[in-house]
Amino acid sequence: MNKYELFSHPADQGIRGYGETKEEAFQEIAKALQSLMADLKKVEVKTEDEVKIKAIDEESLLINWLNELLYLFDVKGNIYKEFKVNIKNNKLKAIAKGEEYNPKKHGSGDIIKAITYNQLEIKKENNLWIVQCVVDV
Amino acid sequence: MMIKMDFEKIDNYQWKVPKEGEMRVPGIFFGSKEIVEDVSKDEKVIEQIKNVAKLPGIQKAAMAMPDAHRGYGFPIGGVAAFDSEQGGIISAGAVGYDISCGVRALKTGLKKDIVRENIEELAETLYNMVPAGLGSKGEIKLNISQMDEVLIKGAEWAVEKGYGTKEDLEYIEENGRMENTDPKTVSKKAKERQKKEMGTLGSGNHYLELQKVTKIHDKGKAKILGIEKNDVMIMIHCGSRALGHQVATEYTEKMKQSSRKHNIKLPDRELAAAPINSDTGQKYIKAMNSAINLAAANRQVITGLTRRAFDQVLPEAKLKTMYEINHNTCKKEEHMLNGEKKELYVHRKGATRSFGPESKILPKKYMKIGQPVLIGGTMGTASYILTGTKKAMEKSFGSTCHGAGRKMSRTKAKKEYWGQDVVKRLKNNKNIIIKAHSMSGAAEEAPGAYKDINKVAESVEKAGISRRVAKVEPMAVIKG
Repeated sequence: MNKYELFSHPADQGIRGYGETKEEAFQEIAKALQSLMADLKKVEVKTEDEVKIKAIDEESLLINWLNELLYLFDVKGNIYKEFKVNIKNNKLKAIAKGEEYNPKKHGSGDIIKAITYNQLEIKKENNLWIVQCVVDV
Repeated sequence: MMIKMDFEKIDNYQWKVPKEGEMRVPGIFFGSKEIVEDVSKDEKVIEQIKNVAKLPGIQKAAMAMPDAHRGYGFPIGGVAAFDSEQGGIISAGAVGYDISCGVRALKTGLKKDIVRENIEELAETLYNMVPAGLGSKGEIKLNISQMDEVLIKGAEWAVEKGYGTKEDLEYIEENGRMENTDPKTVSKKAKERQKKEMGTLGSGNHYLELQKVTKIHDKGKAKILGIEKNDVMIMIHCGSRALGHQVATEYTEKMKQSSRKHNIKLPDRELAAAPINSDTGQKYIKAMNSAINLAAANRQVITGLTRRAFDQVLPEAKLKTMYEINHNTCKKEEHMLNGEKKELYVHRKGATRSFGPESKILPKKYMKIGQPVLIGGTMGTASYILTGTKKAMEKSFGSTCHGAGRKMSRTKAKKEYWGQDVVKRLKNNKNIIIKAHSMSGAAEEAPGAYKDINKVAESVEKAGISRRVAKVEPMAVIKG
């Protein structure tokens, strides 16, 4: 079962991840983001990249984390389907696994312009972490 | 439905949201009663206008154009002007993530019949020659120092590289080259993201469209613009690509800190701002101007590629730039306020400059008609060419609308429509050819997901903030 989903926004697109830990929810929302760009079922794990970021608070950390994936897509051309995230004191370390994006193989989705603070939430409800925000398409 | 209690009628096309609480100025919605009722169905739009009205240094009113819908803190279709001498702010969110998203209109010198005969080949050639869609790469690869040159020179750089003529530059806002830039204010990351993206169209609502002029509203102005009924035109809609997105994202973070440092009380975290007269404010202005230049260079390269495509298929075409506008910017401009000339920073987020006749920003040829305004519709409906007015200078800081405005979310549009089906129906019912890299994108952009642009265009004219000159309708559309 997917632990991520998309939700409606009048002009753009909401993404959401769930997890037993904050880290897992951050991993899942990353999948939601990548799913807007390509069909993740068709993405294989052939390469991996390391991500290290820090931020002034948790919300900025989420924005920077997801934006880093847009950066890696533009610079390395990679799309990812598996993530291992570690968070400590507004610092995030992650491994992202996937392969080089190929529209013929993975389908052509949307270019995501930016990760925004719109409807951004990082919360824990009944032992479940929920992380969400709206992206600008 | 009754118009909401929030509004006081100024006239049939201007509706005021009175000052309350911490609002420094009122809000003003432009449009017919029907349109403003529709726009304000989403209460978030009214809330966002009220929030903008609370920002330090705002002048006159926080304004919403008839195509307004909810945005990121600042509504899309929003206009707000700030005075630096009164503690005025600049906000990256109020400019938007796609800095200098805009539209270039080209005349082709061809009539619709000859283009219709060659439309399949033309659309296919344009689709192959103009890179679009996720992961597309341009033919130019830039290193960092070459990128810096683009950020300083703007469209001029592209002309020097052979993608256009000096005449093109005359018909771009600020001639495609903003002053007060500094490549050092744009991060290495932003430049790296842009390396392969020069001359690419993007995706989402961006497009390259072949259009026929179907109606002339004002013959005199149309003559000056050089267009007649049945002429074929091209509109190119795109922005500052990954570089602009990265600049906006990074400065939103910096402004978040700046707001705290300068004790700017933010009604919404998305309105993160910096005083114009602060280090972050000044750096953002330079970075934004650099991104505006990049966007103009990008549209200039695409203009060059479009000419190449026409040379292959219809070499008799003579592609000339009619005008190029921006609709996501903040520009330093002179405006009259209470009988006094003031220098203001005018944010237009999904709004177009519409300066009236005799403005010094205009190319000589258009001095008598005002700034051309290009408002883009959907891939199945009309777009409009309008011109700015003196009234816009008085009412809306010389601003008007930018498009149709969405009425349906992307998620819903994908459920409602099937991309292939949208493309087939446009071909069968309207004889419009759609070449799209992404079929889910085509579904998201289905004409039914947008508001009626004809009513938006009529509304801005009746409000007096721009006047219709011509209506154009799509023949073929290239999408990401």
